[in-house]
Amino acid sequence: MSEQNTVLEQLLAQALTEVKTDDLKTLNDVRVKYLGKKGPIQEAMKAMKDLAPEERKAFGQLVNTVKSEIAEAVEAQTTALEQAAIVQRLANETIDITLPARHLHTGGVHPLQQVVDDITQFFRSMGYEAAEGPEVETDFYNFEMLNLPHDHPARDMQDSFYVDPHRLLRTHTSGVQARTFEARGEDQLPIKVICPGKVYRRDDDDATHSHQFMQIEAFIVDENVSMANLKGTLQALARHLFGSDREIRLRPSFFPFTEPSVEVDVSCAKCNGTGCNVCKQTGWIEILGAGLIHPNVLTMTGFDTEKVSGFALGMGVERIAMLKYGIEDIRHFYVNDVRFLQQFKR
Amino acid sequence: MLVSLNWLKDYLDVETLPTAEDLAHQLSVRGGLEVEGIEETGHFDNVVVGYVISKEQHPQADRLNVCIVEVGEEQPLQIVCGAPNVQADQKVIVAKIGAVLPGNFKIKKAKLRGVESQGMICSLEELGFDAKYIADEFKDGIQVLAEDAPIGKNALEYLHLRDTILELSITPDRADALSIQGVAYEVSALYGFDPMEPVATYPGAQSNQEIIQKIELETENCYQYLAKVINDVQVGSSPQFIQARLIASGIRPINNIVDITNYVMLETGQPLHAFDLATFAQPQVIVRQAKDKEIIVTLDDKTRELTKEDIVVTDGEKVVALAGVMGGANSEVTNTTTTVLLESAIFAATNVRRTSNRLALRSDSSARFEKGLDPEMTIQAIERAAQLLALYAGATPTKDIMANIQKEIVNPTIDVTLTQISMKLGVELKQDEVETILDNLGFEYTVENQVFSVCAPTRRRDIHIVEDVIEEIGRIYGFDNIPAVLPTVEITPVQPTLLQSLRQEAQATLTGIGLQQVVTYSLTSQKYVHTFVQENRQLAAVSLMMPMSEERSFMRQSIVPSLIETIAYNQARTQKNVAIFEVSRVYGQDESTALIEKEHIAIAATGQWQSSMHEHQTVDFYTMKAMVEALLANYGVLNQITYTRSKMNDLHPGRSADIFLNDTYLGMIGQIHPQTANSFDVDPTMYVAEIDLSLLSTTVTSGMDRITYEQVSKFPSMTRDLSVVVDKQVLSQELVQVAKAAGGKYLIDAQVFDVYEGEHMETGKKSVSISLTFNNKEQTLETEVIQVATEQVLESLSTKLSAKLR
Repeated sequence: MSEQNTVLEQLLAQALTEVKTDDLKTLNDVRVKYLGKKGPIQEAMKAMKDLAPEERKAFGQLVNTVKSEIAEAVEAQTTALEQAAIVQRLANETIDITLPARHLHTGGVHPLQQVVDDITQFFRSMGYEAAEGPEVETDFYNFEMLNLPHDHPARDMQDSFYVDPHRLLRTHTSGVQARTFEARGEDQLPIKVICPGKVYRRDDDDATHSHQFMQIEAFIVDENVSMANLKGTLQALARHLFGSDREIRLRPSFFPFTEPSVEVDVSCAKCNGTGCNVCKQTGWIEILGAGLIHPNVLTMTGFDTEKVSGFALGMGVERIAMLKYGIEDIRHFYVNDVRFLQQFKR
Repeated sequence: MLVSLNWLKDYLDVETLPTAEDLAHQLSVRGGLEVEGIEETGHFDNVVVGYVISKEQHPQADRLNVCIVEVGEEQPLQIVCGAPNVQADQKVIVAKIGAVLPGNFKIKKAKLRGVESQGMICSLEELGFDAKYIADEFKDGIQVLAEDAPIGKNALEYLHLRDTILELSITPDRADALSIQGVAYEVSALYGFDPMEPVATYPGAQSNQEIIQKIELETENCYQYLAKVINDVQVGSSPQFIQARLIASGIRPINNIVDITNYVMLETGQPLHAFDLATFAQPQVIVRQAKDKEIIVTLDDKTRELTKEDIVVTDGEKVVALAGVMGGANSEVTNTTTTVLLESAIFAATNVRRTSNRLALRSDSSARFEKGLDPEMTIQAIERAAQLLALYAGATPTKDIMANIQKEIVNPTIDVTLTQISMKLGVELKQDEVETILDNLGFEYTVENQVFSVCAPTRRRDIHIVEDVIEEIGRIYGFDNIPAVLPTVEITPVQPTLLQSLRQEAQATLTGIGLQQVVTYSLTSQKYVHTFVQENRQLAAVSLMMPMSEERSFMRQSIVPSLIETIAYNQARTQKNVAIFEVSRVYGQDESTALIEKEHIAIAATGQWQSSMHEHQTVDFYTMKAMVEALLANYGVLNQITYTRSKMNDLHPGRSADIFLNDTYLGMIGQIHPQTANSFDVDPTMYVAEIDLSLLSTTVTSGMDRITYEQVSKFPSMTRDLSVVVDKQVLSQELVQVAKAAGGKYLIDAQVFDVYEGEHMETGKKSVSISLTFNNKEQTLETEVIQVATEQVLESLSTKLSAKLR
């Protein structure tokens, strides 16, 4: 009896040693060898019937213990080997995670267009609709209807691109004013329009001049529109563009199509108005021109200036972009160096 | 306009002026006279009048002298001086030790070639004055002062050159501010000062009636003409204060006669002209329009041919001046002149402007005539000049003026109510506030029941209507004091137009797939105006009458040339992979010369596209097609698009397509033709596309309305792949169209997924593989149904396109 026990114990020790293999197939062979139908455990079970009943129970327990210990060892080793295989595979699959990405390159909107879109959106939020007029405009709409009569110095052929004696590349977007007033008339108030677009002047291209540039004009006509309303709108615009703590300053100026006319300064965002090289030590930066629409402009399109009034403001898109980003040369916008443009991607 | 503060102070009844900075602020922010700069001139200490006691040759240097200079101190100074014109017994400007000259040049005790120098004898240029203001005799050396210059006094104060100058930018409506006196009126209005209105007095002799025969105005464009004879004139140099103030104003001193006419013009705004009366055939003045082709030799010795628009001053026989623009050489005041005829006149602004423009003759005088003069200033100006000539040119003026005034200029009286003022400005003003402002401005007014009847002084030629008066009140009140209030108006919904929406969508789609937006010039050269426009779609070109260059003389009809140029620009800067687009207008005119402006989208790309170390893709036709289709898919029109081979000359004939939306030409895609590439001097491996956005905006539906929902089928789809052999020329688009037409109601899609040409293929043939997808929403499709449909497709491909199953 104890002899049999000793055999079983030796068997267990041997099996546990053989289980420590690195190979799954060998491990399976070990499992079949010890736990298979013709294996020693099975043999021992068969031999049990020859034992005396009082010995049978103890021996049976021993056989079962040995069997389950071997089975557990095999199971544990299988799991360990499979785990090791996965770790090995993943290790083999390791890549250099700092190599460059595949290209999912996106483009960018031109900085001038970004400014146009931004300001248009700002005015739309206040109920202004965007209008566009022709770029090749009649001198009637470009000048005459804006209180620039025939002999006005600003109408000099030297300053504009005429295509024939009566048509020219518009010098400003203001022609849209008269066109809108004519189309809408006094019974469709209020008129609230924003007009972005390309304009042209006979200037030599240099760091601060461009024969083609972009303008945004906004105007409103209603009953009782005042300078205070203009100032409120300008302040909101300046703060939208340059920051909520900006202040504005209106200086009297002259434009034929507005009266009163003002130039608008915004407090310098770089130095907060204390004076720096950006604002030429003045603390203020000129950003646009504005005013109450000249009564002649309203009267010419049939409005009764006793009843209605309006304001108009116009700004150069390039100037806004140059101020906002510190761009030093207006020509950058038109030569389209992609290294310049891609800085404005967002 | 340059304003000397020394001069300005003469016209204001104040002890001391406000600081230059404060003046600049008030003039800019309330005055409407923008101050663009403040310049301090001659602000030097330790720069004094000296007396050269002796001059000795420097022992070591031929060109240097050793001077002993008395400067009013205990000991005279020894100064080494290199100026050729330094002499003993001269009064000179001495920069003593401790002086700091322009360019932070500090004067220190120094040894010059072994000899000690205790300062520097200066030229005006060394003191920061432009060489153009320096008299010829002192140009190459030091400034020599008058004999009576007080030794030891600050030299710049003595010369009246220590000053502060405001640089004003004057808008066209504010001609009144083109004079010291005018600026003084504005300063008075801003600060509530009293302006000084000087009265010129001088001992006058003889009446002009005894000398001048007549003044005749034969043109309506001379509103008034005042003349005054000045006898016994002695031409010489002007007193130092006049020279200094001219220099401060940017005008070079010449001689006392010329200087005094300039001085009075700067002071009063009224241009004057001085004739040598001895050169007149008769002592008379006749003003008339010039005759066509009439000739005058102007003061600058140039011969000018005139037109009927020019106004001339004559002595009855010859033209002596081009009115308002420049005098004639034949009547010029010279060193021997003794009798001067002074002119103070008003000529029509328009004529003077046209004349000075046409002849490119712009002067301080013409600039003032062009903007309109104060009719009440002509007398004051001529009297002031007479006074100064009596004082500084030893002259005896006549005691009166001969005048011919044919047009009175008066300002209108404007009624404006307190309510109007408050409504327009958006702030409640009180009657006494308005009264104070009008008083300060010097406007005449009466007020009754809160209605102001206002009349501006004649110097203010810009006050015509109610709004002009309100502007004046507003600016003096201060725009800073007006509240900022957003308008309150009725709310109406705002919608972008369809074109505006499509433009925004194009921007989003095209940047999303990797294209960079550009903005290029609308103007191009004649040779590119019709490049990349199909011959039968070219419009008559819009060209400029007066272009600035050939390169920018025509309005473009295609955006593509500009994009090619942009790519070339970038390639020249080592940017090899460029993919760009632009949304912009193109311009042409129809038969009736009506202008046509359309909006286009153009794309151009070259080099690698979305490539990295992991994979490479070179831009080709299909890349460009993908970009265009991304856009068209977004617009929801891709299923209405067909392609045909393009016949556009500027495109590769085998790699280009015309795009049709249903049956309408929408645009093109293609590789640029090698010859076109040549003409742009670029590599031909460049692909371009252009589509007509205006046309799309007439057919595309807006945003959310483009979408029609269909329930997703509950039953599985089945696919069948076919490979057929067809002639090489057959386009895959035709195979798909035929398949779709023949495939029956369960065929939901047909796609080409492979094309094979080459080995094992008959010459002139290709194999095309098509995937057919079937679905029935009602029930699971039976194999037989699909089989029948597939056979129908095959049969149709066979009959219509001679396709054979491979």
